[in-house]
Amino acid sequence: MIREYTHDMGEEVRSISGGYTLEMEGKFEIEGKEVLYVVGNAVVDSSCCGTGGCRYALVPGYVRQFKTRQDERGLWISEVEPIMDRAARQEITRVLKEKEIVQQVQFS
Amino acid sequence: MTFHEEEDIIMAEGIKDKVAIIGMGCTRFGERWDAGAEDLIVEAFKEAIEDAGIEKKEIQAAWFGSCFDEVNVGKAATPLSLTLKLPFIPVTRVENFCATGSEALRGAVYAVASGAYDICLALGSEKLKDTGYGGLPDFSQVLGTRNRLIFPNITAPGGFAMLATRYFAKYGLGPEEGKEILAMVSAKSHKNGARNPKAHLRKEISVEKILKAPMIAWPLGLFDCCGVSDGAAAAIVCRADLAKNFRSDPVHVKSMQIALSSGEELMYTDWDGTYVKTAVKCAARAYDEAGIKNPREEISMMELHDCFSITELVTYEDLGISPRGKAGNDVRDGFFNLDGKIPCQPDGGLKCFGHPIGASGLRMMYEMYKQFQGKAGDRQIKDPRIGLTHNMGGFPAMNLISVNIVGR
Amino acid sequence: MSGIVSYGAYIPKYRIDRKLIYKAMGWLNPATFMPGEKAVANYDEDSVTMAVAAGIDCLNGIDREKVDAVFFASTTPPYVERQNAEIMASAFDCRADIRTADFTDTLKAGTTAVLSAVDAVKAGSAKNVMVCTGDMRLGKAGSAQEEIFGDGAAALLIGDNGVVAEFGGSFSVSYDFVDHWRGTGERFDQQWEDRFIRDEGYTRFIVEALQGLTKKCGMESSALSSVAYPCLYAGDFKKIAGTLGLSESQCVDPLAGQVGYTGTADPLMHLVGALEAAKPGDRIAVVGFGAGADAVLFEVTEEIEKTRADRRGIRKHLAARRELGSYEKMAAFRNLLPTEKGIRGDTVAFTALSTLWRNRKEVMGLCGSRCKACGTPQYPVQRVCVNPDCGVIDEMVPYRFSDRKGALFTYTGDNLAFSPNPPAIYGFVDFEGGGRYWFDLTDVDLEEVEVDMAVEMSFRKKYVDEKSGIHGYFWKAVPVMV
Repeated sequence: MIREYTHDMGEEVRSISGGYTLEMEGKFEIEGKEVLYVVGNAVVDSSCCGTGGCRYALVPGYVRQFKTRQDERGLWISEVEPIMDRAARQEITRVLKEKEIVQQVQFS
Repeated sequence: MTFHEEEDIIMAEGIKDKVAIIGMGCTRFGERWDAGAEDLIVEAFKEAIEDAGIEKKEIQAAWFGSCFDEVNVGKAATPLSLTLKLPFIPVTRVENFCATGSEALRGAVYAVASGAYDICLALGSEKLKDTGYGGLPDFSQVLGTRNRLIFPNITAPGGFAMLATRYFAKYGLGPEEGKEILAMVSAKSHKNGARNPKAHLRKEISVEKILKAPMIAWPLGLFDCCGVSDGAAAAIVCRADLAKNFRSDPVHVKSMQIALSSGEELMYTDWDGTYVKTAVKCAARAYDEAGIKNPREEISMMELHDCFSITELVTYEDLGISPRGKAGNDVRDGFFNLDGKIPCQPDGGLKCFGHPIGASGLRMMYEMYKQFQGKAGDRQIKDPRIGLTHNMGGFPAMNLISVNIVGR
Repeated sequence: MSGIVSYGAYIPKYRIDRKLIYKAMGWLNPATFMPGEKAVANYDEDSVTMAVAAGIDCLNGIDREKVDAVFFASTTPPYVERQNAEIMASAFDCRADIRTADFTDTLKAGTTAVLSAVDAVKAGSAKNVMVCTGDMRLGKAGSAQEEIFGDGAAALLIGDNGVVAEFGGSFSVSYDFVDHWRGTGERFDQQWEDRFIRDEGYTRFIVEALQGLTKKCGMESSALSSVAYPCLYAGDFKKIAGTLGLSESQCVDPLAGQVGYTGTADPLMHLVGALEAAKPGDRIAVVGFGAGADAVLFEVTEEIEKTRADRRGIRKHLAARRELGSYEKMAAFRNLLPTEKGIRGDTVAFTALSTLWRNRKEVMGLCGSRCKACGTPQYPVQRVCVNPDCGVIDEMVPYRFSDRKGALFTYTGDNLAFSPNPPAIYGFVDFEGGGRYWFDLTDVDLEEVEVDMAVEMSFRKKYVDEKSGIHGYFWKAVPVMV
């Protein structure tokens, strides 16, 4: 299953309870496949039950076609294959926690 | 399809069309470093009383809602009577977790419906930004001496996240699919809130951006959770037959019902964890009292308790509007969008207003009120007939639900 | 015949590679390197909770009403005044008409407690004595103790009915040998030089006690199938064996490279390890070292087979390991680092001790009630039955949930709730046989948790009110040990 992923970083996205900013992207190889990830920084300062925030990573998936076209805003779009296999997710989580020192890893 | 359990509903008479709302006020919600609780009370009261066109001395009794008196104005109802200089009238303080605002209104409405008074005031106020840390005051202080020895280390997002976990599991939704539905629920509210000058957060946020936010309590992310705010809201209610003396467009109360958990959800294994049992029972009584037979067809607009997006999603089902397990389809179809069949959270909801606990229930009613009067600006819904507010306090396993139905 | 009727042990799941400790602190005292890994108690464990876990292992399948004395041995009890043995007895849901005692202040307290238990049974003052020992000893950052100390617990049921290992005799020596010491109110031991400890104490008292034992019992050391004694120094551990004429196979593996030196629990944990592998007729000696030494002899009976299947003991706990991947986490768990908890984390509501007293069976023993009218188990104790089709008032009998397994009905991983080991994971447990309640989970990562997974209950430290010096205990759910 192939999905599109739009490379959109740098903007602070706020809710009432806090906000996050996607700061950097990276790729690494695992078992011959290239994994695309994005690192974000979040601050939660006004939620109902505490303060928090974290450095976290999002994993759109394995790269199929990197930055193939641009959308109407000029942002690059890649084609990715979302990662569904549980064992792969666990391994990627382990690698990213060590490599980028993130506290959470989420898969789309 | 039955959306509520069959039971004999025995009612003395109910309160349908006995009471009208003739004035409302609502402060700007937000991080009101500039205002103490007293300031918020006065702000809401001033607008309400001007809107109703009455004098303070015409108010015969008042209900005051505030939840966390530890960090607020303090206990009892004297804070309201002293702040507003109410002239020795009856004033009652009510608290029922996050449904406190609706409880204040319910007290005032029932008092008028009983025939004891002609005009009453309901006001809810909450000042949450003086704790020194973000968020509500620490729960462990308010759970009860025995409960805090045995309750888990629970927060509100966690308590509701457990509803999402079980909902996803039961209906076979993978976490990504489930989160996407929740994101659509929030995105819709943010779009509405962007059009509301009184909202705390006035920005549209796309589903894509919502899904890129971090987790707060798995599987709920940053945008699935409302935040903390200061605010106050007020309503002036009077006997329905007197309403025309004050304005040509009063809003009539059809039903105000609440239902409390029995303990079954938490300590018995029948409840399947994917809905709110009290909401189903409460809605059934409210619909019966208001004479609503087919909510999906008859309700024009709703303000639901969207403390967390999952709450709103299961409430669509609990209110008998979406079929069980299928609310996601209605969300995808835009059924609850501002331009959909039943606009939900037209003012942006708790997501965009934040949640000053004592005030939220009244803020919901404020939006219904303004919509009926054609004063909702570019959020205006065309010719609404029936409005419903839904206010919830506690956790899915241990809660109370307030369902209130109003109309012309 | 009196002796060991049942046995159990507990090793915390977290293990830390000692290289991580050396990497973090070896620059300060380079001589501290030790190989292998050691067991580290989670932030919500202490000597009492570990001893309870060992005790529950020991009591598997045994009617708790039979227990008529509970002894606790530790040099790191959470309280110096509030009886720790009674906290344990409450967790076991023991009767009130029992005797309890704490044995403390020296590392041989474990074996001393066993001897007192045997004496009580022989004298007829008790028939079933629970002896539980646990230690969570603390070394300063960068110290050799930090490398060597491991956390763990062991439990023995001493009685005269169904004995699996008969008491065969003992020999004790007692010396005010101040190899290390800790005054009241002090957090850390201080110790004299290692050469002194090994030359004057370690290599002498264990030998003296064991030789005294074998002489008293009229046997040669070669007649002993296994000898369990602590390993303080690897080289001298072997030296002691040599002096006693013991072969390597006779010495119970002290698990220095897998668990570490677990204080009062140490010799008894190794005794349990030996019992797990023992055959009828085996003679096992256990030696506790501290302020002298106790040497105790047990002879395994035919009954040993009947306990084996239901005990987790050493072997299963050893296998149930989880990586504690950071030194900082260990230091934070042990309060070596003043960590930021935020105002919210620092706020601990006062413990209503009168409420705790009234609800002690519920809180400490995880006892709820079962309705006689409809049979529904419910937690906590209810007076009005929660079954909507019943609702009868005051038809309840006590019902213990602590030894019941369950299924995890739903859960979450909460990043906002303050937790010393985030995220805070909690959920609902639907118990086998009926009943549901919500609990914190522990000893598990969020990625491993699944709806409907099998869980069991574990006695843990729920909170510490540092200002009032109160340790609050309750039960958390953990995945069922495979």
